[in-house]
Amino acid sequence: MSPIATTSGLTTTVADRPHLIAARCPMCATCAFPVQLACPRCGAMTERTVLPSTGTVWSWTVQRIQPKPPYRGPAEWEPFALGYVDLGVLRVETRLAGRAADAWQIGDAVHLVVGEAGGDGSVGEAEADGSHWSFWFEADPS
Amino acid sequence: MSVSIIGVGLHPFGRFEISGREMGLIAARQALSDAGVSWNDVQFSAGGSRDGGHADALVSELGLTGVPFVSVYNGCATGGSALLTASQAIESGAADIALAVGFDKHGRGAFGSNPSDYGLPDWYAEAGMMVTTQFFALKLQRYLHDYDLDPRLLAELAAKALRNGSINPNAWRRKPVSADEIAAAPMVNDPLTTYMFCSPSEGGAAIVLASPERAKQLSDRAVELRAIAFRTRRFGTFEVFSPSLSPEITEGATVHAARAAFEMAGIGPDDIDVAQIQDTEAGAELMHLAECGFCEHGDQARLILDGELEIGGRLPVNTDGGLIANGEPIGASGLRQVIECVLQLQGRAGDRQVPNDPRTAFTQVYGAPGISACTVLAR
Repeated sequence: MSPIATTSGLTTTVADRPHLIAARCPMCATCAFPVQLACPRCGAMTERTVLPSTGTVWSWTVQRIQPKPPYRGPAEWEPFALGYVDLGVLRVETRLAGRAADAWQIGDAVHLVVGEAGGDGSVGEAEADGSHWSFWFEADPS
Repeated sequence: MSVSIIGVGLHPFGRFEISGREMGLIAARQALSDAGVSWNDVQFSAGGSRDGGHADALVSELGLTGVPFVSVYNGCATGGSALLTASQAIESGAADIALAVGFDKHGRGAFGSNPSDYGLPDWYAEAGMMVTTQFFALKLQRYLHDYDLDPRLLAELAAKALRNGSINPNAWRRKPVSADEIAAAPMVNDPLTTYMFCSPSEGGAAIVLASPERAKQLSDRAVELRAIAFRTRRFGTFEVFSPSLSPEITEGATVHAARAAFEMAGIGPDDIDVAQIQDTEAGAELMHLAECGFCEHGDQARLILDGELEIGGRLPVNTDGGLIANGEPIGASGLRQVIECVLQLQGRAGDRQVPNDPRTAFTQVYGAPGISACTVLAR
């Protein structure tokens, strides 16, 4: 696919919805996130693809102890939820937001959010203008 | 395979004033003395350490004999790699006597990791997702869900580890803690509480190997290393520091290493009398029991609740308290497991001796990023 405006090569927007950019193997269809040059299964050179922006929680936990550097969270430490979200072609590890950190269940429906880092405590790569953007998955409204 | 273990040495695990290298030296000297040989007799050596300095620096105090000394590092499976390397030197005929040694000295708290060492982008760690304990919890949470297992089993396993550690003079954690207290302790990464994890610690371990011919001349209590198998992950396993996972999950490195070890030894999991299994946290022991072939996935509750894994049970597991009671000095940890099995097979395990004269033993060490080494021992 052709390159689209991105946030540090991690995310893109298609039809007003954010998506994660992944690598896809033209030989065996294996996907990987973030983008890597070669396929983790067969070693062929990969192409870029976008992942579905909605999925379900495949596993989750709560980080209750502040990680060591290079973690860059907000000044005030607050436990946070994270997990793997099943997007069909791939399961992506992500911060989870939108409900109490310990209130998640496997199978919960979630959608991708791309925003300025800090809102959910997460940090992304710096843009050319110095701002930080990141992605996380948020609980669908029930 | 035909390799014999003729001597073992262990510097206790815990926190000490001396350096990691000195603990490795003490363990090595003890193993040589246990074998009744001197450093001059050793024709090949392999050793590993993550934070204790270069393993081959040991030679400056063991004696500068010119012996080939290979330094190895394979994460938590470093001890298994050292043993594999040394045993292959015996098997190939390159040496009649070889030493495997490991030591370490880690700082407090979970290991910090540098994303670029793993080929990962900085944002992954900056966002707080590059934490080993999270991985254990995420893998376990899904496993408990898939096999409908009660998280209470984790507290029971941790209680067993601390109970066994309380009667092992070399263990770090010597105080038994009840399963109720473990279950009610502060959560670190749900569903794992603070008592369910091992902590990085300090210690040293060493094993002297010999060809069966030399072993016969030197020892009347040699233990046979019947098999050692080492495997890395295949595509589709769930390993630490994975920003994404394949939707197809395949069997982990442990499944293949254990299977290969049993095949090589010509016996199966049902024939094993005592085992040491990687319990980086209680959930690791739970999952590894099935991955090694000691039960079906989801069938662990029976083994745990019926007491089969206790020192007096059908398959005593982690008789020295495992990683939970000993902590994990990475370079030494895998060797500790083998040493505990050797002591059990020789009837030298003191208060924690497994009854009924055990004749076969099994060890499994597992580490990042998806490495497993298993051994089968017999006498």
